[in-house]
Amino acid sequence: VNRRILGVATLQLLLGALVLRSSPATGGGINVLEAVAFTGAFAVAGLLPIHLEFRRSAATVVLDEAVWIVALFAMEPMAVVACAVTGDALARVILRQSGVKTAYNLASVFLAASFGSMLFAAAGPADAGDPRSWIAALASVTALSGSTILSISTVLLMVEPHRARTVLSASPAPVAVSTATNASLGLATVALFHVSPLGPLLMVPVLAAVLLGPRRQALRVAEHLRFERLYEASARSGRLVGFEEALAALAVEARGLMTGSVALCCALRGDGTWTGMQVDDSGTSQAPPEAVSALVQIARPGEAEAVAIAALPEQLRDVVPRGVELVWASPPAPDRRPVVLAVTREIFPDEQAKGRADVLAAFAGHAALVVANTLLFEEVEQALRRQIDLNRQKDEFVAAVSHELRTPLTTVLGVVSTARRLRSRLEPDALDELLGRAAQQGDRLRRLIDELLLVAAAEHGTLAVQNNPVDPRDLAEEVRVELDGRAGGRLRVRTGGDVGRLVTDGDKLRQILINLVENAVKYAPDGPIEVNVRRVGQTIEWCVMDHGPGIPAEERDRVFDCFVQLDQSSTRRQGGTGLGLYLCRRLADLLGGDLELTETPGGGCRFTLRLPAPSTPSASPADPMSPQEASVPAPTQGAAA
Amino acid sequence: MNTARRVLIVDDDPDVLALLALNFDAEGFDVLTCTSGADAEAVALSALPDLILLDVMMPERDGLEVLRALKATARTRDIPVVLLTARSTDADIWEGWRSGTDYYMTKPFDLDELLRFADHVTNHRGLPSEGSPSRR
Repeated sequence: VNRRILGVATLQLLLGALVLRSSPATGGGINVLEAVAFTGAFAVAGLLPIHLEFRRSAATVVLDEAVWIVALFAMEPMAVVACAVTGDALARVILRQSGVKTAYNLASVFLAASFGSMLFAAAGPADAGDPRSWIAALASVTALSGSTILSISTVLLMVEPHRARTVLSASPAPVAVSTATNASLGLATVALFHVSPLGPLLMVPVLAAVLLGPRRQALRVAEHLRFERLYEASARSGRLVGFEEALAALAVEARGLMTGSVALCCALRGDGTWTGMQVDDSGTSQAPPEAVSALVQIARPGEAEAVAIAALPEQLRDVVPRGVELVWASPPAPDRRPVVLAVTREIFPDEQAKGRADVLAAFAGHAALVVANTLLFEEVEQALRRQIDLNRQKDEFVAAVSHELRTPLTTVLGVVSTARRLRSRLEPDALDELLGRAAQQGDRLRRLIDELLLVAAAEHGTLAVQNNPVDPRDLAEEVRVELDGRAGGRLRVRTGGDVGRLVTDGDKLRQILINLVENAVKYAPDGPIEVNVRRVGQTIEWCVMDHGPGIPAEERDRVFDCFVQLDQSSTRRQGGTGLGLYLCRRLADLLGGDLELTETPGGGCRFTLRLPAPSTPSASPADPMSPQEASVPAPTQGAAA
Repeated sequence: MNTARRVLIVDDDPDVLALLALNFDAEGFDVLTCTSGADAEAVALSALPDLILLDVMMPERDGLEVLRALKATARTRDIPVVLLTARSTDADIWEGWRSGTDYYMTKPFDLDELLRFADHVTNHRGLPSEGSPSRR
């Protein structure tokens, strides 16, 4: 956009130069004193705008056009153009306007001045007593303001097309008022000068009254307008939206309220971190965290202040490189949600700075309300989502249980109805085989029901622990005997020496180990399944290792969740409800131990169950005086058929 | 000339497969079996059975996919398909019908109902029906 603006400015300069070249040269030197005086007059006029108001309409009159008329009668056209441009430049430098803005405005002043002066020169030599010259001066000043409107609308169309229409439709009346005022003041001065060189002095009291009179009223109206804008901004930013969206909307409104260039809106999230959104000419974006924390550092709750940009901490200056000052406001703590609003302004502070800061402070209070609502909204939404999630999990649970119960039942009932239908036509062997299948599936059904009841009991916390002394090696052997058939001879049990005994619920411990081994049998189709038992200090450790495909690290925690089967398509092939590992962890917790899943060296799953087992003196392998460990050969079981 | 009615049974559960094969064989059907969804389509295309019994939850390729493929192929489009599945929610059943099944039975299924349906559709297609049905 900047490049396009500068392009238009260059075009205006070229056009202005062309106009000047074609104007009739009148010759004659330039009076330096005169030139300096008029340049000064242009600058002063630019610095002292007059606010005129009537009811809700307001116009700002800048007296440069009056100076223009006087200058037309006093100097060469070229000199008038030079003085007007230089004076305008001086005023803008004193007001510290940004570079692009100044460049564009000067270019448009140059074009307007060239055009206006040429028009005046074309009407013939200036004569203060000749009404024809007066008409020429009027035409010139009209051309001047018309050309200025044209260039303002050009830039508006480029930067803010949606605002251009409103501005353009509202401008003709105030511009006409301004031009008429200027023309009459200018021509009156010229006429007075024509009568007597001291005549213009008569204008001084009139000017003083015009300059000072409406000023206070203008301030009041400006204040009123600011609050009107505040209400509008508050109304616009009250919608329920997401947190960051709300911050961005608040920043946009704060920027508009303060006619600033960069606006930041920061707020404390529910989790205790500050988040900030930033708005500038290029749109909204997330503010850098270091800028946010720097701003939060300087902004005291319940206050509002303007700080010179140069005095800001470096992290903040990176975000707001341009401008004169940063105005911030924060609502009073602790009764409001912590929020900080900050807007940079590129215009030098005037007498309305205090009023503007007050408006920002008021808006910060409203922003706190908006942020509080947004956070509440987010919380409610999150709770709702969690509820929905829970419901979905429940539905999935019911569907999975239904499926798991139906599958074995299908075989059992299928066998019964087949036997009934075919009766005598079935060979005895075939019937036996069918009944075998039914028995096996019936057994599966029974185990599943046991598991479900166990899960239900664990969920309700009604599982009782029945402690008795347990020998870890005997237990491992029992598991081997029970599962070796199903494991197809792949099960290896190894105990590292005398691990002592422990007091725990033997049935539940066996259940955990059986589930872990069954899990390995199901998911690791090949390779040995190893069960290692050993004592590590005050704990006994069971390791169940397989050499199957294993589970990726990021999924490992999920396998212990209720009803999770990582590979859904395997449900049928592997059977199972996804309850096994969940149950294992619940039981391990119940026994005061822990269960963890890691990787078997070389790939596969390694489940490690640790139970606390204070070592007893009679069976302590840790006792260096005891030769027990060496004297009892480590019984290595496994390698079974 | 082979005049027996031919049924293709697709299920990855060996028990269900054995039971169905036994019963359809006893009813005089020529029984073809398949344990995976991936093979089912090729078998159906080459054998062009008179009826297909299809399980839904199978590894690699599930029954619904197979069903949709069969119904999208001109040569297999008119073969009646029965979905046999332990998936029994309304959504599952609706999904089955939408995929173009001719009949939907949830497991555990009624063997008599299945055989009656099989008998009905295979006879209605006007195929030779000697040696069947032997309903008692």
